[in-house]
Amino acid sequence: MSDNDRIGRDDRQTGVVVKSKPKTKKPSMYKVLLLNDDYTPMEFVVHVLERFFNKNRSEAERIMLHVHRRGVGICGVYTYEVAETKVTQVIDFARRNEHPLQCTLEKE
Amino acid sequence: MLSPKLEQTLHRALALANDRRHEYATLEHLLLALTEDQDAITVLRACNVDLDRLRGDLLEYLDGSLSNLVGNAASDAKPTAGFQRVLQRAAIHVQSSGREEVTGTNLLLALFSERESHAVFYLQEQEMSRLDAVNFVAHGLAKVRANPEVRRASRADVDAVEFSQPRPSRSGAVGFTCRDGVWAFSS
Repeated sequence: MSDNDRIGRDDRQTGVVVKSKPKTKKPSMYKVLLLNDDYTPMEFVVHVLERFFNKNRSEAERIMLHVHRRGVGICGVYTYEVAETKVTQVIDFARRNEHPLQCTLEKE
Repeated sequence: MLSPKLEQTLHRALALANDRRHEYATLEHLLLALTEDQDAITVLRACNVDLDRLRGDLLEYLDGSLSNLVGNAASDAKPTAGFQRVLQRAAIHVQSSGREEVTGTNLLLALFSERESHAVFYLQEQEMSRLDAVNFVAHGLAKVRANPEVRRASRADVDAVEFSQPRPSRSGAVGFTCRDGVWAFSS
C-alpha cells in the first residue's frame, strides 16, 4: 500500500462537528459618556454631573474640563439598564434647558 | 388593567428599591418582587427554577452590585427605562391578545426581551428560556428536568414515549411534559 493510499484513507475519516451551546454570558457594564460641544455652558455640564452622577463639585469640574479638552469624558460605569436610563435623563434635562448636550453609552 | 396581585408586586418592587435608598427600581427589583407573585411563581416552578437560589442571587446583586445607586436624595426610586418598557410590552401584549388584565406572568415573559439584564441572566443560568415560559403559559407544557433513570429506560425501549391518560391541566389544555427532548402527555 502506498503512502498516498494511506493518506487518502485518513482523509476519509469521519468526525463529528461539535457545536457548543452558547453559555450564558454575564451582562457587561457600560460607560456613560458626555460629548463636548461649543454651545453647552460649562456650568451646565458641572450641574449635570452633580445632579445625575453624584459627583462633588471638584470631581464634576475635573470631568467637565476633560470633556472640554478631549471631546469626551466618562461620567460613570453602570449596568446597561442604569446607563441607558441615565443617558435618557441627561438628554431630556439638557433639552428642557435648551442645551444641545449629548450623552451616550459605550460597552466597557 | 393591571391585576390587583400585579399591582402589589409592583409596589413591592418599588419598596425593595426604596428600602435600600436606590435611585432606581430596576428589573432585578422587579424579578425579586415577582418571586413572591403567585402567577409568576407558577411559571417559574414549571420551568424548574429554584426560587430560593434565584432570590439569593438577586438579593446578593441588589445589595452588592447596585451600591453605586444609593443616593443621598430622599426622593422615591424611579423605575428605569427598561422597567417601564417591560410593563409597556406586557400591557401591549395583553391588549392585542384581547385580554383584560396584565398579570405577573405577562411581566415575566416581557422581561426576556431586555438585553444585558442581570435579571434575565439569573433566569438563564437556571436554564430557563422564554420558550420554556411561553410553552407553559400558552399550552400548559411544563418543562421536566431530564432524569437519568428515565433516559436509560427510554434508550432500552426504542422510540419509547410515555403516553399515559391525558389529563386536562388547570388551564384547560392537556398536560404535556418534556423528557429527553420529547414532548409527551403527562400523567
